[in-house]
Amino acid sequence: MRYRGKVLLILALGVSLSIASLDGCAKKKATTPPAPPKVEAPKPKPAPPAVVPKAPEKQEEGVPRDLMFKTVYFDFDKSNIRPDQRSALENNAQLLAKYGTVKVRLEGHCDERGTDEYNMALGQRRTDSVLSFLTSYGISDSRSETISYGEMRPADPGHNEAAWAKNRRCEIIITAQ
Amino acid sequence: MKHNCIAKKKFQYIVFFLSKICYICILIINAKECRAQSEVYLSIKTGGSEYIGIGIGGFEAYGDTTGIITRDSTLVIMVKNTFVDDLNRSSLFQVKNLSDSLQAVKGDMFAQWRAAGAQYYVFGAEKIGSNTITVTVIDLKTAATVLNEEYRIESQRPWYTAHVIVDDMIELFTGLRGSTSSQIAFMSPYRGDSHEVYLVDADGRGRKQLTFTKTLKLSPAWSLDGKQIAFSSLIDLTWSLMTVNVNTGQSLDISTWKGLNITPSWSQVDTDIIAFSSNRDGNSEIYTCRSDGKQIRRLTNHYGIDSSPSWSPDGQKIAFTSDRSGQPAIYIMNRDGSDVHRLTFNINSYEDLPCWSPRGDRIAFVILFDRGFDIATVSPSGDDIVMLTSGEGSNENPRWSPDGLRIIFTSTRLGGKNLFIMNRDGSDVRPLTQDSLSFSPSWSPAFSGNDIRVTSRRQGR
Repeated sequence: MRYRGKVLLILALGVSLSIASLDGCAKKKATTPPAPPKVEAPKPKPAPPAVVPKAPEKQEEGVPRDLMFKTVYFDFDKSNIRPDQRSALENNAQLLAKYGTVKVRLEGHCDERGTDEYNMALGQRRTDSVLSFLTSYGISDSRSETISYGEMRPADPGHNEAAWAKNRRCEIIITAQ
Repeated sequence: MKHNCIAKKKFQYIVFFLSKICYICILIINAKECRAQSEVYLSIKTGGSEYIGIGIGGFEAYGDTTGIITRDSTLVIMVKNTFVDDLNRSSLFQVKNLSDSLQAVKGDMFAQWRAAGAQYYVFGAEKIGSNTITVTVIDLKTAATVLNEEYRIESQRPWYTAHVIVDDMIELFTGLRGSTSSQIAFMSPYRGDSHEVYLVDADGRGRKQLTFTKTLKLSPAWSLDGKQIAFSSLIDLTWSLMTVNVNTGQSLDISTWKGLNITPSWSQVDTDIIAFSSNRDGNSEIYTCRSDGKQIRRLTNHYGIDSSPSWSPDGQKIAFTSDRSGQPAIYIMNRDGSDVHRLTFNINSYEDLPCWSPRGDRIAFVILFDRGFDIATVSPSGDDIVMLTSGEGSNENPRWSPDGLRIIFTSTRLGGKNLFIMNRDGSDVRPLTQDSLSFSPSWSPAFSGNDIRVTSRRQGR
């Protein structure tokens, strides 16, 4: 299933997104974006095949001051996007699609158990995964920067499984609105 | 050591007599010593703890014309005490107590000393008024003099003279210059907002800060000539590879491609080549470059993470970490990237941080267990894995001393992160720092000691 020529029309209206046309992107019904960005409340959507973002008609809508993106979490020593993280990432992608002027920095982190050196590369991998996900959603990679902090900036300084799970993450920080 | 008066006088006479012979023939002995060095090389057993027994004689003052004066100057006492301590910490020598065998000095004195476990005998003589000490090492089996050198004693650091003497002895017996007078670079403070590079002498003295840029930093590595330290610094979203001049503090960018430029390893034969890991081509791979950052060459080509390269001492191979099999393990490849083959096979789950010994026969690395990391060594062919630590806190960043006899590493065994030094078989672990903030060490090349050795020259910093 592919995008129709409608997309090109919308592009002409000044959407700054460059929509990449990729295989396997499932079609979402062409409606307005979902409810206002209350990022804390996860949407209980049944997991469909990967969702294609629909470029919003009203691109000039002001960016809310409390706009925030959901942190994405990972398994130990892994950088692939977990199934239970997809909806959070999709939410992020939708927000980025809606607010086309927003730019972000993807910050990759690891828990303390590996070496500082390998964790630097693993943290980078995690940002690469998130960036790849966003790109496949049509978010231009010129809107994102990436950085790895390895294990140097834990969210939770604890030394147990609960803390470690919180530290294996990619945070999405707004750098421009 | 206290003996009865007669024995001591006899002993002093022998010492005096021997030292006189040495002085008369000093030029000849110096010339012969070069050949003697190759004759006394010992092959150090892999991972083993074969110690050379050293008997210590007096370190005494004497005058040229007036005979033995039984006065030990304070400086000489300090030199001797440090000397004995350094020998015992060297991972090569063991000081033997000879006092029992000197009680009745009848018959072959050397045979008695050998029976007490000494293979070599060392004594020192300070020339009054000159602030120098001449040290002589005698082979107790052959009675040959294997070392005879004059060293200056600097009053503000008498311990340095002892360090250089021990380094000369290590070089004599093993072919590599000793590490006793060398330096360590490391990072501090762990878990701070930023890190800086620090230097400290291998004996724990002289700690000083080298960088003042207030950035996050990682993994220092000394250059072959000991003039520069490479490290990574987080600047504007990029982990940049830089070098800092040890003497001037001036820094130079090496590789600043946006993203990761980390884990430098300086060649042990070519002062101008650095191996490092970068994601400039979209994935963490191993590259080499010149020390000015030019001539960047890619070595690995795999979608896995490749990092932490470590050169072999002959410059022909590189050990590195790769997770191409699913989890990080140690691999080896040729210097051009060919013939990549795996060295460790997930002893527990995760191996990393290889460091190739300057002797070429062992590679140190870390293994991840549930409790944390432990340090092991493996032969370059992959067999004979020897654990050096076993669960005393988490132990990482093993780095060999330039003589390949000791290993410095980061450990949490005191709480926080501290630097520890151990023998190459894992014994005699001693803290170098205790502030619980120090991590990621790198050991400098050996010092030459030429600044205090009066006549002969050695290679080294």
